[in-house]
Amino acid sequence: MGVVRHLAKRALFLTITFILAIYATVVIANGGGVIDKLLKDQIQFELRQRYANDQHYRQLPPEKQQEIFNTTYNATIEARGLNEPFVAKSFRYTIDALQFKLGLAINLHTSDGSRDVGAIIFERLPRTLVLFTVANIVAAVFGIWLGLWMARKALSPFDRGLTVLSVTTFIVPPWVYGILFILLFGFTWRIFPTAGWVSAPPPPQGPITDALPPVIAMGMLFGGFFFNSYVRAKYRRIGYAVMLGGLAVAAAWLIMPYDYYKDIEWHMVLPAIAVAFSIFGSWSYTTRNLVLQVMDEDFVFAARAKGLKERDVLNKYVLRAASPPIVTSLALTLVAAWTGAIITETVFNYPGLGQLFFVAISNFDAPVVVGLTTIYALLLVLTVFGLDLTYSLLDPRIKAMRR
Amino acid sequence: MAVLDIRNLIYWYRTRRGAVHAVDNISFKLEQGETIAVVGESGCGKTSTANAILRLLPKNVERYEGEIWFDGQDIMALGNEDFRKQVRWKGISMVLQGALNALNPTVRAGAQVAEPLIVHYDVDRDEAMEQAIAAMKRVGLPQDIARRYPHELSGGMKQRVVIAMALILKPKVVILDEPTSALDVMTQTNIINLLKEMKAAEGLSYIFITHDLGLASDLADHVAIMYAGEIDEIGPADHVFVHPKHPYTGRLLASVPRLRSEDAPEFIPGAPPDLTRPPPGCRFHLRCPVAFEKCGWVAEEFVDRLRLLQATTQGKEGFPRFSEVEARGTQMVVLRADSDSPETLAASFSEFVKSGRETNPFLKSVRSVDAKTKAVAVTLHEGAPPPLIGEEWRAACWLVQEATAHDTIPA
Amino acid sequence: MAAPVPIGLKAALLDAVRTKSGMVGTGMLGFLILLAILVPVFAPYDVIKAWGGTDAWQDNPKLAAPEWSEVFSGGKHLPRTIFLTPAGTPGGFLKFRTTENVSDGKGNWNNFTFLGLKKTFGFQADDFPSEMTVYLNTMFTQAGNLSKPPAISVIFQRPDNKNLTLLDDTPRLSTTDINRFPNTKSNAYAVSQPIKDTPSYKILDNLREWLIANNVTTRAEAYDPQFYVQPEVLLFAQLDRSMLSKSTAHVLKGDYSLRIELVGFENTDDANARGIVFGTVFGLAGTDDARHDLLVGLLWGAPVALAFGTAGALVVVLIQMILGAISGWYGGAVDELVQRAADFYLIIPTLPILILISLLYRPSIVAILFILVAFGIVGSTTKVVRSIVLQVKEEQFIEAARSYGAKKTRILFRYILPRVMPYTFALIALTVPAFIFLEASLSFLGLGDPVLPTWGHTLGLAYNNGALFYGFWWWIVFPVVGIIFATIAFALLGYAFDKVLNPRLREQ
Repeated sequence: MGVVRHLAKRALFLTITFILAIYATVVIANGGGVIDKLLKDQIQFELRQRYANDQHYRQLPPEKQQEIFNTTYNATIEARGLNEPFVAKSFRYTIDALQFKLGLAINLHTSDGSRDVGAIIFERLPRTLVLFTVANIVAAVFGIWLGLWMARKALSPFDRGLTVLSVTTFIVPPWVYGILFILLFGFTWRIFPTAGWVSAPPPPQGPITDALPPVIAMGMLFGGFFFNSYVRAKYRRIGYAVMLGGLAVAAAWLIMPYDYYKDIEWHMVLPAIAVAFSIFGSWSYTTRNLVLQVMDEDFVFAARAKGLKERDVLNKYVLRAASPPIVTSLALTLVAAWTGAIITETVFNYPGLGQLFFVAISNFDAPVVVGLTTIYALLLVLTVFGLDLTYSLLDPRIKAMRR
Repeated sequence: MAVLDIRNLIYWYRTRRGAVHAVDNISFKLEQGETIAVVGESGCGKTSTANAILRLLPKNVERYEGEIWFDGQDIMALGNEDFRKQVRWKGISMVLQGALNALNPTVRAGAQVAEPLIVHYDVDRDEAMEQAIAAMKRVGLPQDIARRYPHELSGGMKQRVVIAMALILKPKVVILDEPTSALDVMTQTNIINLLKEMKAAEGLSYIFITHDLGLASDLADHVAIMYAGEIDEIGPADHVFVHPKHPYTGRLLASVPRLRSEDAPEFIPGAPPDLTRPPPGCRFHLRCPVAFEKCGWVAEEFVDRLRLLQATTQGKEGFPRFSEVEARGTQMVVLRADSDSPETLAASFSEFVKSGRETNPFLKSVRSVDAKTKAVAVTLHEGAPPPLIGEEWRAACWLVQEATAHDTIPA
Repeated sequence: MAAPVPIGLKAALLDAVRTKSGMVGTGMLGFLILLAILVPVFAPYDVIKAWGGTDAWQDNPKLAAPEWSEVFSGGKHLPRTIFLTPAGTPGGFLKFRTTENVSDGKGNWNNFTFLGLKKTFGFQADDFPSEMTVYLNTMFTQAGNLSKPPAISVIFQRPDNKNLTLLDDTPRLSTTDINRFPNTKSNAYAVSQPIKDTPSYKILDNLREWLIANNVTTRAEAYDPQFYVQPEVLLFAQLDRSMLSKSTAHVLKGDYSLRIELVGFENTDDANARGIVFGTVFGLAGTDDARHDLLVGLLWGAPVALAFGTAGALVVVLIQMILGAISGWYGGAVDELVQRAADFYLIIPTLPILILISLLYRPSIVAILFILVAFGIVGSTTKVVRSIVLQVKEEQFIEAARSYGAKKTRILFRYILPRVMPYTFALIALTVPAFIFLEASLSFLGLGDPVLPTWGHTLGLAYNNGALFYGFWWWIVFPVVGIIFATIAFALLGYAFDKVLNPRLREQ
């Protein structure tokens, strides 16, 4: 009962927050109406230019000229919806956005020319999603593993050194690393392409299965890793074998012919490393601290007294208790990576949502900005609510508190 | 043969201020079916002793040595993995201090009781649960408790769960680390009775760690009094509690309020010493009302005490008028005066020492007072740590050694 | 038996500074502060105000690497900039001038001025200069068609005596200047990058003819549209076919001279010259494409980043702290309001909005700071402080203060906030980098302060001018190192605080 009421209350509040945030974005994305004025000026300017080159128009008498000009101008304004007062329009935009009627973009379009905001966003969504999800997962897995290791060797020189490394790397945002990596790996050593999503002209396109090896390799590496952290020692050999297999697949991929999909994946390596490099430290540092905190708990001490192996103590007791906060920050950073993507994608000239955000803003393309924000905010709200839901259902202590 | 024989156990750990001498060379035996109570103030090394026996050590261990003979085998010689497999919980289990937090909040009580079976004997889950429920019944818990989470249990129930967990592998020795300190008196009594019953039923031996002398005298056959990482007195409970040999034991007993006595409880002045720098000689000498020459005074302590006395008795007749006092090495103190000549000061200080010996035991440590050209040199007696002497009933105090000949007990 | 958590700001501060990372962080911060104090002495604010203009920087080489990078060039001696100072300055051009009046026998006197300017300079570097420019200042009279402007030749003398005339020119005045006496005209001849339709464009043809005359190329080859003339290489290269490409050409070391000859048609005609042979290395931090001395910009980045970061972090964290404390302490509706506001701020995409505002209004750095503060009223600090306050609230001494009747606000300010302060300090130290990077992000996108050369601004210019693809590493590396250095100083301090306040994380 208590849980349901609590969740209902949370859902209500989050919905209100969501609506308010969308409205605020609509107002801000339109510059509080300033952009309307800019657009009107732009239309006026373009019309004058067009008529200035029009022989037929220039021969007409001035009154006639003025009349034609005004008619065209007003028609254009109306077609673009610029004649309404901004306040009324802001509400209409908000309601549209809430219904996911994202409308048409002002300047931007997809690669095949569609101006539908939804289409523009969904053309780019997978690119950003893949890049940042992969980078975040790599960083999280590596960071957690490192954090556990640091906690196990707490206070040793190894731990101290890595703690300082973690603290000092995670404050630097990915785009700064991006610039340095491009200079090193792109310019100096010429290992990776420095920009874009695919080479121009793109290499020949093979079957889609060519895209699979890195996915399989990564899946095998992580699969083996997770398998090993949850099974007993005698089965861990299996996990190591799977991880080795993953490395083999990765090596095989490197010598595979360079085709369209490999090109795309090859382009993603450098940005992914930059993103992963700038966040793994926050994972390792947080994990280390949380684990050390949990290790101090009496029930962990009890587990060791009971004769559990150090490794089982860590996996069964410590990790289980420390994982809820870890999962929370994983979920939140994954979604928050979206806005962080703006400059990272700009630096790598990677045509994802972040770059779209920047291009849309630079072009004052308010519908695209609002559309992006709506989807972003929705994802965030759903994540926050999902975390709430999971905790209320899973953690017996929270259940008890609510009762 | 003793089931557990601890010989010269040492366990120090590092801190930023230096090594803490948590357990400093202690020895005791535990016979099959007996209970030994380890008693002392907080921070005297009782819990560290328990942790050291089960080798539950933090990362910052400085020294960990000695012998622990368990069941005819020196378990200190075992490797970590063998120790874990053979000793932990199977041989020696533990009811943890703060048992209320010793249960994992996210795991059902029954599963936690059953876990040692799975870890040590590879019993399958259902079988282990059955045995766990049986064990919980034996400690007086109804069957449905097994399915509950720790936060759904009362303090007494949790304590019973923890005891069931400690007994599930039928260990020979159970360490009870303050098993009742967070419980109300009624529950406390119930738990103590339960522990007695379990001991009788399963033939257990207990190491009972407590600061509660009443509980210790109720449960224990033998008692070891710990002070500052050392054992001061050890012997049969009815002897130690009735006629304590060591001044510290005496003070400890006198500090317990008694229902049927007119005597007001006495407090032990001062605080237990900093274990990073335990006092030389007898560790209790700084707080001991009957301390004397041999107890191991050093110049620094002497100076501190003298300054304190100067501050509290300022202006009183007969207090020697010195302006400066400082320690020179460990056994010499130098006094200087502004107005008086060294000879006058030496005379007045000697007089003061003579008259103040009984009220201020530290003055007993003065061996000689010599007037030098500019100052007065006070030389102190050399002391040493007293050995634990006696057969069945032993105490570590120089007074005891002197008294054994006459068989008198110091006050 | 963990070491106690220090209570109070001062104790925490002292403890934190004593840890190793605290010491390193303090040292780095101290260095930055020292730099911030000294920078205005080294490069006054006026220099920075002139950053946007070109005049102050035009004597610097373009895109020059730092001088010390020579160490990595394999023992090569890279050319420094050589200034050929005007006549009348020590070591400047040597000037020879004579006038003559010649009669044509018909009663007309022609007045001539013969003028020679010469400057010899040694060139011993192992690489070619990056550019060469000759500035000529001519004074003459030109009233309508009555008299003629002087004729000028610029002659380049090489150590191998294969001299050539770079150009012949007749400075002409625009019609508006014609009736002013005496007329002066300043001409800059960019020898290395002649501009089309200017007199200096003739340099290219002169060079072609010179190559043909010395049998380096055939006429057909020299006038082929594909033929690329690179004056700064040809002028300083050994005379053979290898000189046609910079990658194969060998530097001809020795004494070069620049000679300017003027024949004027009035007695008053005069001229002076100045030249710059631009090097490929400059200063400690090199230059950018607008010839800015990057060191000046880099040094100015320190005070700007420090001031911006600390001011922003201080204000934001303090506001968030007070809100968090109020939220945790008073609870109820106030708490609910603050929590909902935190949700709201979490969902609003701050960076895009910031970019939009910057784009619309091009705010100054101070205005950006205000906007950032406005978007940081509630945030993570609010949550952290709230949870600490909820803990502290349960402690005995608060209970005691309440029981003797202290007011709620009094307890908040006298008992609770002091307990929270040390944590706040850690949060401030960890928030400063975030602010420094926010400003850098905006500047990188070209949306920062329009005047100040912040590190992010420099980085953005470098990126947009292709520094990454041409390998102008100094233009990228130094600003990045600056930002990372400053932010790591704060991160280490924050970490030191964290360590002191969470005793589990340090040696017990």
